[in-house]
Amino acid sequence: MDARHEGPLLPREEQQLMEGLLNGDDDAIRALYARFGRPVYSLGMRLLGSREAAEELAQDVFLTAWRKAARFDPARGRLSTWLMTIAHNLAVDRLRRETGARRPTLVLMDEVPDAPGVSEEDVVEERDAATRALASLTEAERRLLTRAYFRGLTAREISEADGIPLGTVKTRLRTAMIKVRRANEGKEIS
Amino acid sequence: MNCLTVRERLPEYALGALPEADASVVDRHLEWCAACRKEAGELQRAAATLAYSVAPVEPPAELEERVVAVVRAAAGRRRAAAPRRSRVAAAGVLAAMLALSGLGWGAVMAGRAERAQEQAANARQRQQDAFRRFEKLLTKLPGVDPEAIAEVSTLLSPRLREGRGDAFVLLSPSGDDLAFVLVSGLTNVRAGQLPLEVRLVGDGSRQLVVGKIRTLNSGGEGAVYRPFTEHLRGFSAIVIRDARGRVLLRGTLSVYEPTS
Repeated sequence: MDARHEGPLLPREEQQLMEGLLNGDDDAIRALYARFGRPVYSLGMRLLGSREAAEELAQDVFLTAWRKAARFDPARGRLSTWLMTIAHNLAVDRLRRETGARRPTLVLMDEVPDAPGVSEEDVVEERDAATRALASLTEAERRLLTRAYFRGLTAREISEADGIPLGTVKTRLRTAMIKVRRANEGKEIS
Repeated sequence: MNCLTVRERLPEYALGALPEADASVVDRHLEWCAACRKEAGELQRAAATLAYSVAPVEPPAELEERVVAVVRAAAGRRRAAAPRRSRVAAAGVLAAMLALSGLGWGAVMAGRAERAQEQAANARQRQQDAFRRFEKLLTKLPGVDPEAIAEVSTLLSPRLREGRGDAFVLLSPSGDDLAFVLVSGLTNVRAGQLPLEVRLVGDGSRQLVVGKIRTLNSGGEGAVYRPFTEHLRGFSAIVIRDARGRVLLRGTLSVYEPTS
């Protein structure tokens, strides 16, 4: 299989790629990096704020993906979701551990019109879905999701910080997530 | 925690913003509740979309080589250790299974139980207890890869008639995978229906025979165990048929997370 071909991977190809990763196959690791290296690094830079931290995160993410490769099941979800969930968890864990560290202001894709162009064919769909998701949210919903997802704040922490009822925060989070989910519909390979 | 309570928590769960204790409770619920698992999966896909919403940054060119080197080195270390660990794991698992399965107790108890129903109920309780002990012990056995994934399933009769079972599938990144299936309460199975065939069922028409249960004791108990050199990833269900091809028990596999 040539996992460097253009376009999203089929579930069978994702599975083959993960089997290659599990075996430490050079081509599989490079194919995986070619597709997801930049999104993972971008997440690290935007959340953790330094090149060093983002590079460490990228290495940890691919190493964790290799460790957990046997758990990956394409029938249960796409590789892009699985890998970015690993990246997000590792990044937020680090944020929570380093509570005193100064963090960069989060920059989202629609705030940087001259950002580098998209070249990873596999993540075009994800970028499109992300653009649709951001466009569908109100400014308040966007701030709320940003604090929960990118800063790892619980609904209770947000409720206490903002002085609004916990139930209201949860309802707003649910509403915002439904919008993101709708923007995401049609992205998955059936 | 019921489905309603879990559903309320799923948005936070998907965002990774649920306190750890609550997340563990949700994890346990999702092990057996397919409907909530589906909902959680959709929300997690939505949450992952957010990860792509950060403004892209070009990584340094040398990062690819570093990533390749770190993964290749880890895989090389595991390959070097794999054969020894695999043998130890298989031996340990087998020993644990024999020690804890409870098979053989049925014969002892048979003379004391007055009715077949009582025997079946006793057998079922023993096997449930044994299975829980087995699950807990397995993840702590020396030689079992700490990255191994356990999948479990409760096997039920499609017609809700008699018998139950437990299935345990171990997915090991470095050693043999294995499947272990216990049944109990199959007291109405006649000699002509034996042996029972146990199969792993995957996507499409993919199936793999785990083995045959050739005898059942008076509590309707039996077991089958098999290590596999091929990966068992991707199998989603266990089906047990009698010699006539009729489905006696079936169940869906889900990832097992030890609670202690």
